[in-house]
Amino acid sequence: MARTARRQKPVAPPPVQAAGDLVTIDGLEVAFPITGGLLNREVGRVHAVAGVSLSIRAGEILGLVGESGCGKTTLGRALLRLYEPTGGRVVFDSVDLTTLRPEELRRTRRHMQMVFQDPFSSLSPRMTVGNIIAEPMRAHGGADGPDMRARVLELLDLVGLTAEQAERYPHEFSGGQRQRIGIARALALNPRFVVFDEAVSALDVSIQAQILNLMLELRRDLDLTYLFISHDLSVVRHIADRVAVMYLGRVVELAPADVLFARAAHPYTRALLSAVPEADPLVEKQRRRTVLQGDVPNPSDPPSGCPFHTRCPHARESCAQAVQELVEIDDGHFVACHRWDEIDTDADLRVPAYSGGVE
Amino acid sequence: MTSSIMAPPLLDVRDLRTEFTRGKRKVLAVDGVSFSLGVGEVLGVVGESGSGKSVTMLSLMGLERPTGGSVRFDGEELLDLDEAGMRRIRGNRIGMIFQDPMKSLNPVLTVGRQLMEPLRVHRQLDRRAARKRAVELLAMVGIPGAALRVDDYPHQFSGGMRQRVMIAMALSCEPAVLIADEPTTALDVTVQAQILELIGSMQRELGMAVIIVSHDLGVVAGMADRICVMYGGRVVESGRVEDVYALPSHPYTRGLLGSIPRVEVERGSRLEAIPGSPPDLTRLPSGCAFRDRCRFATGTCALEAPPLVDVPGGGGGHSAACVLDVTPEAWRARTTTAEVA
Repeated sequence: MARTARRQKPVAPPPVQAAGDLVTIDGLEVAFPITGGLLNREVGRVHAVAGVSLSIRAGEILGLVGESGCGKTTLGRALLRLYEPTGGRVVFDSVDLTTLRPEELRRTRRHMQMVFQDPFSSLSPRMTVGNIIAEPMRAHGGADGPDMRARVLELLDLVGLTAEQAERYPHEFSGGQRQRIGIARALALNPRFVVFDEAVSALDVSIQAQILNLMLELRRDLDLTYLFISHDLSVVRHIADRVAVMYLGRVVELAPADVLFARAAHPYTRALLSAVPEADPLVEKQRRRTVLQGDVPNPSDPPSGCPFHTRCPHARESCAQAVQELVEIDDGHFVACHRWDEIDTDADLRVPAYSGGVE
Repeated sequence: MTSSIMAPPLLDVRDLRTEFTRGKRKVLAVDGVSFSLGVGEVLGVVGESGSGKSVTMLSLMGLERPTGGSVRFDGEELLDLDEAGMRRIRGNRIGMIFQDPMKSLNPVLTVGRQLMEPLRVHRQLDRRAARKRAVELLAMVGIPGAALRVDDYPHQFSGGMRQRVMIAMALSCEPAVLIADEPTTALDVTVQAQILELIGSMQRELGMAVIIVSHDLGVVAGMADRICVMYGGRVVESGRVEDVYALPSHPYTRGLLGSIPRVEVERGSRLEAIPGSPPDLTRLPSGCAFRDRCRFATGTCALEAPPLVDVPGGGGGHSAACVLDVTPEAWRARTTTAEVA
């Protein structure tokens, strides 16, 4: 119902994409109904994604970070229309996905794939690995017979598995190997764009490193573009070219990775970065953390104005009045904060008013 | 934080072994683990899945039956105690928190009731006094409106707040040792920072010793004075945390530190990683359990699991269990040859 109500612009303008952009997200909204009461009527809505505009450049890895409930997973799924957006558009290679009919969408989707956190739950336990990897090719009427078999072996080799392993079942594999299978399957149709949703989060550190290495190799060899969704900032710092930070359904900061990790401007990003433990006792023992107070507010009842103002150490009354959109403060560095140019960014690491030192 | 070297350790674990039977297979989950913990000291225990770190903690608390070894706590041999004897220690002199507070809290009792129980059992407080103390404890761990929240049920708390409730319970009897097994693994990073800071400040305030078990080398770097690195049920390296991170000596520790994308690692470069998969305790290789993933393994590695020996030139108490020459010079030479080859 909201789909029609929300289409205020009578005719959508022809999709425009800046040169070099593969995916353009424009004012994307995803709202889920909250039902309750005896009749299961809609009593409210959660705006999991509340107006996000971003573009993903061909060949880059865009990192998307944020804590649970920030909407990063919903955004990733809405890009592939695994969730129906309730507003805004997603343009993939000049095609507006939000207006596509099911059959057209299906054809476009073969260029866009997704790899999930838990490889086991996304692999059928009754299918051999070879069949799991071949399934997308069958579904999309790709290769068959000997060609398909050859392609499966090629994919297995690509992700570091052996031909014999095609005849085995998922339970015979370790977590890291299963994630390799998940990646092989995602690559079966030669996609151009892959969304990784917490794809290395459940893995042991030594295996996580293997999979990160594999992702970087595949991107280079196959000219892929990634959206890399993760809560782990150290991993994102390593793999991403640019990083977007989400809080309560909105992007609050977007910058090239080096810039974000060196000169974050949004107070939330700064708090997030200061919370990441570094594997270096000397660094850890002398650092002062900006420890945020309280929990993330309930997304079904977000605060007015800037969604972060209730926990922000720099918030003023005015922050509760209006939402600040992203503004470009430096080349490619965007921030959504009313006060980014007033706050002394060194202060939150110096003044102990709200920070507690971990000594 | 520094433990006196002369005083006997508060907790002394020697050659602890815990064996399970899985079907017909014997699983040696803990294979001769030794470490000690001084008064007020923080020990980090790190390792990946199958390292035996959690079973070690359950064994020394008597929640798993060890099959051998010794656990001396404050002069008393815990492995000789019966269940009633262990109950006197557990939750009283040794507190414990786990990864998932929802599994440890009773969903049908208010958090107040659950906090009052140890106080009434171990401290013989009456209802009023126990309730008053429960509110104080909730306030101490930073739960806003503690006097009201004491009557709430666990599901009414957020993940971070639930972990605070667990910490309040573990600290209720002011234990001499707190065992924290992956206490922040399920939490968001900003909440993790809150909880780690809480554990750190409680540790300093109460002069408590802490064992923090984690797969996260960052968490341990910030908290611990000393560290034990576990692999395949054994301690493969231990020492002061600064020494182990600066001069990792066991090939596994080196691989682990090389696997994490640290600040100084160039963005997008190849991480060192460790080939293969974490060990399956039902089919560990003979000898050194790490040898099938070790680039430097030789024939001798298959013969027996090497004991922990002092790292020559390492800081005091820095030891590694490896047949290789693990001095910094030897590692430097080895990595240079590897690069040339």
